[in-house]
Amino acid sequence: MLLASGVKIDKKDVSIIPVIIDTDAHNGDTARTRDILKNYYDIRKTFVNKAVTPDSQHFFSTPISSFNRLNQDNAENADLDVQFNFQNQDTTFANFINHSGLDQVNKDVIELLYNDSLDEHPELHLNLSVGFKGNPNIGSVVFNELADSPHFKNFESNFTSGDRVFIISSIFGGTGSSGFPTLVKMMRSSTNQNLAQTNIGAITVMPYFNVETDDKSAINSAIFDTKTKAALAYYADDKFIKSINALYYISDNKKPGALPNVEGGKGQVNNGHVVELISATSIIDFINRSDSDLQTPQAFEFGANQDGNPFTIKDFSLTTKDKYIKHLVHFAYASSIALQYVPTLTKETFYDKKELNIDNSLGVPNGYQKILAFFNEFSNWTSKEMNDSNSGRAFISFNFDTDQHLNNMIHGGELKTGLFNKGLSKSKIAEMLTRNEVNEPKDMPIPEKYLNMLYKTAFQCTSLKGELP
Amino acid sequence: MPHIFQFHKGTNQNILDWTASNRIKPGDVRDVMDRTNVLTSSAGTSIPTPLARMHLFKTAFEIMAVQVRDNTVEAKSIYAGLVSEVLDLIELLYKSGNDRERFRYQKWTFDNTTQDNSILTSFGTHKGHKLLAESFKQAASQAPFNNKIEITLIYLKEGHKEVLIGGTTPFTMVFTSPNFKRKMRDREFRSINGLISNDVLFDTDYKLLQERDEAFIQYIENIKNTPTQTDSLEGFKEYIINTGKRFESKFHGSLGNLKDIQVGDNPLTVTGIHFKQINEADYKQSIESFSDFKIELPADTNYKGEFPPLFLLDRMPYDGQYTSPTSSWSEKTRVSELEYPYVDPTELENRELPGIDGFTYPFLSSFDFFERCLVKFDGYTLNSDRFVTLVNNQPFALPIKPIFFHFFPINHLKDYLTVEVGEDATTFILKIPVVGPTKGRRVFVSKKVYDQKSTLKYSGILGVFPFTKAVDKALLHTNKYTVAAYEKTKAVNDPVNYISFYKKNGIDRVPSEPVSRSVYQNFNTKSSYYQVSQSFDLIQANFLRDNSNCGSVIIPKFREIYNGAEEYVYAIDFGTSNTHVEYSHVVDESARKTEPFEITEQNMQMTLLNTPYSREENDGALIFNDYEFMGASIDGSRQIVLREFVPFQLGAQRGATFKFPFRTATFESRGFKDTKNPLLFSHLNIGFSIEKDAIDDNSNYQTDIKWQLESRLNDDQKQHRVNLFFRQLILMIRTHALLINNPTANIDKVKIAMSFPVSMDSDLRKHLMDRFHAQFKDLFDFEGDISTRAIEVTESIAPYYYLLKEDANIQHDVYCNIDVGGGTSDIILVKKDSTLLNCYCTSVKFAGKQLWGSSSDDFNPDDNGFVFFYKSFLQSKDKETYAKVKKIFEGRTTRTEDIISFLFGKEEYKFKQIFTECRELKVPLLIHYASLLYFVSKLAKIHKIELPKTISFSGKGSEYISIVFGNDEHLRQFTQKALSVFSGMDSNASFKIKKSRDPKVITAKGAVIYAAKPLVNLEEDIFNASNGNSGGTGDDLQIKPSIFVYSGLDESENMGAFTYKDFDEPGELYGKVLSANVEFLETFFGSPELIAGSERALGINNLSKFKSFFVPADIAVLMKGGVLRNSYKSALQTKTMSSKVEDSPFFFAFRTSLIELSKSIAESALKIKN
Repeated sequence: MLLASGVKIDKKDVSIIPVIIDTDAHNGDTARTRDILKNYYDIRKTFVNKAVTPDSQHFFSTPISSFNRLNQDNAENADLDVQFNFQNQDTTFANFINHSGLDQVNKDVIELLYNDSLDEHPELHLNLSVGFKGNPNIGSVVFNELADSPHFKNFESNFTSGDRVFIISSIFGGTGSSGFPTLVKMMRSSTNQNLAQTNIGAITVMPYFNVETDDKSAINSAIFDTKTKAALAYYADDKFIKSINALYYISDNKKPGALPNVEGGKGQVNNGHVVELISATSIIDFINRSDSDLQTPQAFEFGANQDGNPFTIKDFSLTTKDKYIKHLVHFAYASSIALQYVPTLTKETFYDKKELNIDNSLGVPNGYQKILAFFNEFSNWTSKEMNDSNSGRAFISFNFDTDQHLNNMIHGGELKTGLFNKGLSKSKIAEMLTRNEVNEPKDMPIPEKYLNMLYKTAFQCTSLKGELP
Repeated sequence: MPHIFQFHKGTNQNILDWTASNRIKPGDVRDVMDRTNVLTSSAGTSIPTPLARMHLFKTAFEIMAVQVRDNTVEAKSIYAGLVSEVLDLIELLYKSGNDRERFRYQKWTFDNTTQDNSILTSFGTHKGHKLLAESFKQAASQAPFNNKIEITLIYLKEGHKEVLIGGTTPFTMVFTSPNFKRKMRDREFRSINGLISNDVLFDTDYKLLQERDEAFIQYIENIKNTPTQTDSLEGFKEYIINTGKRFESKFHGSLGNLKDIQVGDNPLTVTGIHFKQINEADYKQSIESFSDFKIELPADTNYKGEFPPLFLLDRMPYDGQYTSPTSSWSEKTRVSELEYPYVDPTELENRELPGIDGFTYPFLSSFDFFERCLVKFDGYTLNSDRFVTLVNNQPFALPIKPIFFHFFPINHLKDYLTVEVGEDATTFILKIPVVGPTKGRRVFVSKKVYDQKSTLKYSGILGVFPFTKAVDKALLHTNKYTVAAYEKTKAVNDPVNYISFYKKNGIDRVPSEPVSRSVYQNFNTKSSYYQVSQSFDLIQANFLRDNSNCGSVIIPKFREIYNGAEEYVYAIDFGTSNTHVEYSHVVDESARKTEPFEITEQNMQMTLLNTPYSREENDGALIFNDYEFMGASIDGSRQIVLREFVPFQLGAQRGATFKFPFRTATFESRGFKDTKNPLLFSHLNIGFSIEKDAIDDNSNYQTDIKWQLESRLNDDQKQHRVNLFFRQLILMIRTHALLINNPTANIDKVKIAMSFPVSMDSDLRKHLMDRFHAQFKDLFDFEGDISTRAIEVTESIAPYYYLLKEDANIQHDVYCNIDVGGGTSDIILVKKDSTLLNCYCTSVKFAGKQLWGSSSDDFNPDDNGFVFFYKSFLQSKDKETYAKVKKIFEGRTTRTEDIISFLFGKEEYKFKQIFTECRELKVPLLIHYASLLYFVSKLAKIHKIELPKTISFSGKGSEYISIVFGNDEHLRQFTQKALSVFSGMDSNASFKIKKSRDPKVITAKGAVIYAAKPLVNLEEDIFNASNGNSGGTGDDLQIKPSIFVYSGLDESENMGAFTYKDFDEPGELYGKVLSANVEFLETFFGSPELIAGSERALGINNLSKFKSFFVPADIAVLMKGGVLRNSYKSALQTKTMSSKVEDSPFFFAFRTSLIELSKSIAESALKIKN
């Protein structure tokens, strides 16, 4: 979302290569992420001019590509592949390590280290098809298999000088927490020196939500903190983790509310969370750092102005607002306008068949659908998901349900109107849209015009709004 | 102030947006409180390494170290739990890590120091195995492993069960398995206790270091101070250091003597630190010093253990130091009998203390002492004179286990145990004094209530013989016992399971197996006997209830016996039908006063458990214990005691059941005949009760003990019979001697004389004497010259010693005693020559049996005229009496002479009436007497001795003379006349008959006198020994015994030169003897004076006609047939033909002929009556 909103990356030639590693093949959240990335990729292909670079002022300015891009001659036409084929381990951990084939003393060592019950919270007999369910001690073993996967080998062999790696993982039990040290080890131990010596950034996401208590579930948020403490102590000693150039920590524990307890799989579709938003900013932060800045491994933490709960935009520091939130505000205006205004302003010029041909979906019905869906996703994410107090700390940012106009869209940053100043009224928006649309070069492809129109209108709205709360 | 999205409270608080900060260290997260105190197995798994669990414990120590330092300890937190678990395991190892019964160790190594990737197949070649190895390889590459992971797996054992409890780790010494608690539950392990009472290890009640045993704390501190190979233990050590600073006062324990825990030949170590186990002796020493629960044992306790045992009760409310100053007793501590099912004093030191398992120190609890059931006696109370009781009229045995007396000797019982007898329940109160340093002396009280449910009824009783116990070393051999057990056969109550005998130390058992003897359906009682070959102090009767044992203890108050100084002599007149025993204190080789053997209340030899019934007579003038009445419930037992065991009392006193003389009989078990080595009481005993039982149950009595062996010397069964008869008799005599206390007998000087008739075959006599000697030697533990202790006396001469002592005047006359027994008549004729008393002794097998026996079938009562007449007479005249006795005639198990003896025994049977109903029946008696007088006359004549001036009679058999002559003067006159007629000599004008009131005892009394100073030489003064002149002047009288006999032959013919074969029909000697018999009859019936006098005495008028019964007109006929010949032949048949003749053939003809006469008289009389 940050990239879609046009968050600024200081380097022109940056391309993001997202890689998802999850043994939970059917995880709802993973699928959603994958879909959004693919939509981003598709939208960018349709709506963004190739000349747009990450440092441009533009929505979807940063290209993302597939990790196996270099092997594909026709990368542009290929579907975006963002996930390592490291899933569908439809077996138990015991079978995975061929436990029955171990001799007795080795079995005993495993018994000493792993819970071998069948009915409590299994470790040895955990079915791996839905991930490791908070058992990094299992994940760390299973992850070693990744090194032998074609995807990883491909990734490894194509890693070039100047490439960087950023690893996102939680520390309190998710799949990422299992794989994190192993992944770092695999990279640092790589025979490709570009990879072995690259700058690695990582964010360790510590507890920021609870799940409902369920005795039958392997996941128990009551021990998230406990697990985190143990893992932090381990990280403190791990030579690979110590080698990480920029290690970002984030946590937001001890907030009330609980998510449904879902052990993984399709059912696990969690709402977005402000901590995830902040975490995402760490990637931008990392990318923007210079190589020299990263020479000595460092740790980073995130601070806001205050501990608002619910959290609001005003609670962010000025820097944060300027670097990231401002862009989200743009994108919020754009989303609102695209979803709530554009379809209704049928009389406006920009709407016309000769212009954007909105009725005919800009001539790219698929693409138009995708971008509207993307805006929808964004508005839901910001106005509903992050605003959910069950997730822990709610983040109240934008309100898209106000009466057809955008004056009250920014929580805590309502536009003041008066007798003569109606603010961002519908007519005002209509006017801005048409003006911006018609100003675009005639030969510009309609989808690009559409997105430029939205960008510019949103930018103007922001300008009108003035300072963020 | 900015808000930082952080997990912990970092040091840098000036952070906005993404700002460089510090890496998080374990200490940084101390302020983050855990949200759970549940120690789940998954807690450690958020670390991405297979060794995650090790790291979890490491983290726990690091976090707890900080919490302790900052005094922010969350005692319920998961980290407190993890630390506690590690300390628990170290504590357990510290307690008993070397105990192979509790622990097994297995070393596991993952060695990648060669870095050659061979390690990747260390788990196997399967892909999964390799990935596992890969993962371990990464773990090994981390500090502190240095590419080599070593874990010693620690397995906890309980019996055959085993659980992997944990392993060693370089971070925290040990860590635990996530599975062991579940597996211990599944495998039903007992909970494990630590060093401190009731501290269950590995539970949710976490114990931090400072809360533990001080010596253990010191041990942990010592670990901290031990240099290590790596610094991996830092967190662990920091925790100890911080705890030490905060709880300084807890760190002053003494380290004690520790020893390495061994794994095979190597010590158990981690990072160079040796695991240690506490030295048991030290720990025990410390408990001894600190515990407030030590039993204050009496000075004379039998317990010799190194450490005084503790006394601990289940959840007892007493406080105090339990094992150390930090380990107090907890009221929660269970002391369960299930866990400590029995106590073995030799194993007491190895008893695990409750609440602190794995550690051993002697302790006792009330259940070690109390039995689960109370055993009540059915229908009687315990005799408190002879058994230890807690209350008067105590109706129960003590529900105390013998082990109690190991600690608290019997004489202190009442100091420790009291009882309250209630209506529905009986409560025993145990009061055990305990001492300790902080609580001083206290008395712990434990009550045990036995209600009806936990009370069982013992439908039986025990008897102990002899009821003596020697303390003198010289008498220890007498501490051998027979314990009789009688029990209802159809008891609805719980049966006796077994009976054990214990020494007073409560642990040494005296082995003894019971021999079941009899089952009496009519008494609903069965008997069995235990032979107990050593002294014992406790009898434990064990019962089965609900298939488990209920014990009970009975403590006999044995009469303690000591060896005295005085000499006593006993003499046994071992008669064919009756046996009598007399005894006397001997002073200066002289019997002071001979008295019949008796058993009185004061010297009862055998005792039963019950309190005897005290009977009052004559308004309380006479009070005695009545052993004839014991109440219905144990009357069956009483009757069996009389039959199978030892009489309660013997003598003339009220309350005595029997008196001597008694029927020479044995009572035998059915199994006796099939038993190779029968035992006294278990299989056979003296049949004192024969006459009482004659009617009811007489099939197992055996008589004719004396002559048992005559026909077959080597018959095992007969030998056993004789052996055991002697054995019981000697045993009773020995016991009697031991119980004499005025003055006390010296058991080593006790002599027993045994009289034998001279007529007895010398082989048989030797055989009997050998058996008697053997029993004597055994029972008196005597190995010297047996003839000085077990003395043989001639039956014939024995009475004379007595008579002479009674009336010294008889020595101036010719004197004769006729001792008529059941089987033999023994005669002595004494003539004084100057200072020499010539004693002519003889013995003939012609006695009671020749009147009262059967003629041909010993067990056919109709084969005797007296019985035959009696039966018919009763059947017609006194059906009531007949009904009482008829059973005795029907069994064909009782010898006829025994039947008659029985019938004579009680007036109510009216046996003597036959002689008034049919006076002719006295005729055979008269002839019997006359033949003896004829024999005496012949002796006098042959030896040229004057006819005796005095004749006396002894022996039970002689009692018939009173039937013949109702009046003493008749007897005197007849005897005087007969002697004169038979001998042809003049009778002494002042002839007199000395009648004894109790003729049977005379022989025994004489034997006593004789044995007091038996003849060493042929001629010796035995009577004046008391004047100290035994070797003195020539005036001293000397006795010269000699054996002589009248055979029926010419005076010149020496009977002893012949064998019995020589007397066989139709030889010359046969003819001579039979002629002598005829001569006797001719002389008797031919004397009008004798006949007339006899008829007057007998009240008949046809005496002469009976001559023809014996003597036909034609003598030749007599030689070939008739009663005399038949009798002669049958007598000869009982002899060994090749033996030298010792029994006078003269009486052969009267062996059965007088009985035949009785039959003839009876038949005629009955014919007339009918």
